[in-house]
Amino acid sequence: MLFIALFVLGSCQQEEVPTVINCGDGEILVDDVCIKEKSDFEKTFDATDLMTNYTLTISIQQSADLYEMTMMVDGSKSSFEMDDQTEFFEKQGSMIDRYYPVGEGYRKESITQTENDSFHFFKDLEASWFQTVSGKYFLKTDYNDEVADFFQGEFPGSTVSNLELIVGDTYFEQIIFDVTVDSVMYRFTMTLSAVGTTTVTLPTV
Amino acid sequence: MKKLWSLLILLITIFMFVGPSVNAEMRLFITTKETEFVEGVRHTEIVGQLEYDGVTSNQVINYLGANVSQFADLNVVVGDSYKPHDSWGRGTIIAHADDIEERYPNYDVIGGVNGDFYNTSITNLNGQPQGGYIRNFENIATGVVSTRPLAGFKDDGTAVFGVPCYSGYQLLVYDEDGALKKEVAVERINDLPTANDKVTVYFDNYDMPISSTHNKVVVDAKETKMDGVRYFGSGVLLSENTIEMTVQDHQFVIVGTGFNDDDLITSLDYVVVQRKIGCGFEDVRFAVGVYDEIVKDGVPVTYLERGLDPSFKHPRTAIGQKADGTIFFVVVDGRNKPLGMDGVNLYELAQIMVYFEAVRAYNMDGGGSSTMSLKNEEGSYDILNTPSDNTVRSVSNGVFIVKGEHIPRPAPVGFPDMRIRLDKPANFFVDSNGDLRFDPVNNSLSYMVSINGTLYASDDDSFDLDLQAGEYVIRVRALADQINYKHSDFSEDFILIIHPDDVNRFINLLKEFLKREMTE
Repeated sequence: MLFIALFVLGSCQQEEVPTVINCGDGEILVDDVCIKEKSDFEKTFDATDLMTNYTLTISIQQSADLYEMTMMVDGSKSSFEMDDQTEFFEKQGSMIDRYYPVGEGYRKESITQTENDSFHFFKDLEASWFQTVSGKYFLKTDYNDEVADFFQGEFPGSTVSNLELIVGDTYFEQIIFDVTVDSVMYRFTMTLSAVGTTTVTLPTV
Repeated sequence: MKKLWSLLILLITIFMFVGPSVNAEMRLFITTKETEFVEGVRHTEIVGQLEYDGVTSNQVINYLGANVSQFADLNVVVGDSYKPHDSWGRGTIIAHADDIEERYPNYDVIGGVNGDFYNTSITNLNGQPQGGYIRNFENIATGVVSTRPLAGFKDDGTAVFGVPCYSGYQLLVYDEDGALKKEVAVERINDLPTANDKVTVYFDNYDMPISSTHNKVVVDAKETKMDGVRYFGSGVLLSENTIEMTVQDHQFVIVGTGFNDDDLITSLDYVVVQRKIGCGFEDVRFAVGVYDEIVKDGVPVTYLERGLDPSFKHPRTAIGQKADGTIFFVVVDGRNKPLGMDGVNLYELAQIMVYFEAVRAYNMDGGGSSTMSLKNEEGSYDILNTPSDNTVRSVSNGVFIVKGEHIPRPAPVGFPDMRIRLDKPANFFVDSNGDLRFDPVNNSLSYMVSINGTLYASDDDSFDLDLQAGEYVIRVRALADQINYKHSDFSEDFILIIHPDDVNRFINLLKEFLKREMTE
């Protein structure tokens, strides 16, 4: 009897009591790990990085000269418009179809995509690189070189400065910065719009 | 012995009555002689003493010449500063040289001299040359004095000297390529035709109404020249009518029964009304009036009855031709003895031209008009001599040696023109190499590319654009053999904006970013 009793008692285990993880203020539990909850500002970086459909208007000003262009991205299709001329692109695996204007119509050619692992421009920006000055977000000067990396291929030695970021509720709204090439300064103003509603229609060739 | 004495007396008599020693040899004692070459054009300046006919004089002689028969890119061209209408006008030989380069981009004026004698009255005829004047095949002036010779220059490098002849007026209709469509005889000027198959021309010095019901083709005149006796006009079609009309300023009107019912003259054509020239001057592109023939067959002419005081020393200008085809000009300074510039008479001038190996030479306007210019390294002109007016005189015209080939004159095409016009080039774009590309045109031989109005040749349907930043209007026409096919019209405008290099590279970066943004 005693043996049976020991056997029964020995087969019982103490019931585990679930651990209650209490995250701190400003933290959220993700996969049983408390992580710092992202601010609205930080969330715009994630959302902007994930965009696959948007319109970006860009102006480049050098002294009194102003050059304006519009880039549209619609999944596998995109367009680049400047001086009333529009080029279209469509990704086809490792190749890209380029549609270029010829007379009143278009012609198509297949081109290879240039291998490029340099800084992916505004999509590689990180929230921690910014500081607020008078309520505006400016890139910390320590990170100017990170952004300048985007330009080094074409403009070795160029520098980036005064990068200001204006964010909306979900995405970036505008990025303004200066690029200096051989003592000549170019002011870039990039305005993001039509996120999720941009449509690129390829021309018929 | 008696016979011997008789022979001696005869010989003395002959020598006594030969007259002044115009056959005497000239001797030139050279103090300095300097020669330079500019673009194949030789300039020589001689300072020294000239001994001729027992008289010794101090001289400064300038020579300018080139073998235009041997080198296709050296040619003789005339220049002027004539106003397009109402009057003639004068200018310095520097202004004339500028006029040449403005009219003909294919010529770079190297140097030249003053040209013909001219009218110095204070009327609208001031500047009218005394002899003929041919500018790019157009008989602008046909000689106040009909016996004045011309020095003419053909495209093959040959020169024509002599007195031209004229046989009535001709109406020449050229198409937009400059090819002659048709030559029509003009019966008379400022009067109605005498028959249905005749054509006349009214100029704007006729201020009465033309009351006939003949066809009237009104030409917007690019240039008119008239002195009440001789007429010249060129221009493009302005309008047509059959009603009574008065010739407006800077127009001329072609009148004839049924004239132009066949659309001989269209808005694309260019018409010329001029006196028809002959006697060897038919294919002369440029000609300037000259005066006394002072060297003939390599020998100085010894009897001169024309010209400005042939026996007096003046500054002089002459044009000559060597046996090898070299055309050269000589200017001898004068009226300036303190500087050793005594001037020469025409006999001495003839001797000087022979000294420079002329086989043929003519006197030109002299005195204060005698001027010689040469382009310097800065691209402006140096006056090589010392004009006796102490300033460069404004003269009627000038004759110059230019660097640059003639643009060939298209062969006549006839009328009606049965050739097939080529299609216009189309579908322009700029490829990744920066070359202008377009669709090739069937049966074309080459292409003419116009970039903001400047013309370039292209062998095929690709043209290397080496352009600075800016906006360009590009048009292209296909060129044909002009025998079975004719050149196309210019294409529609292709507007090309070239950005500064930095901006182009920014654009390339942004496009690369764009390509990376596309998802599968």
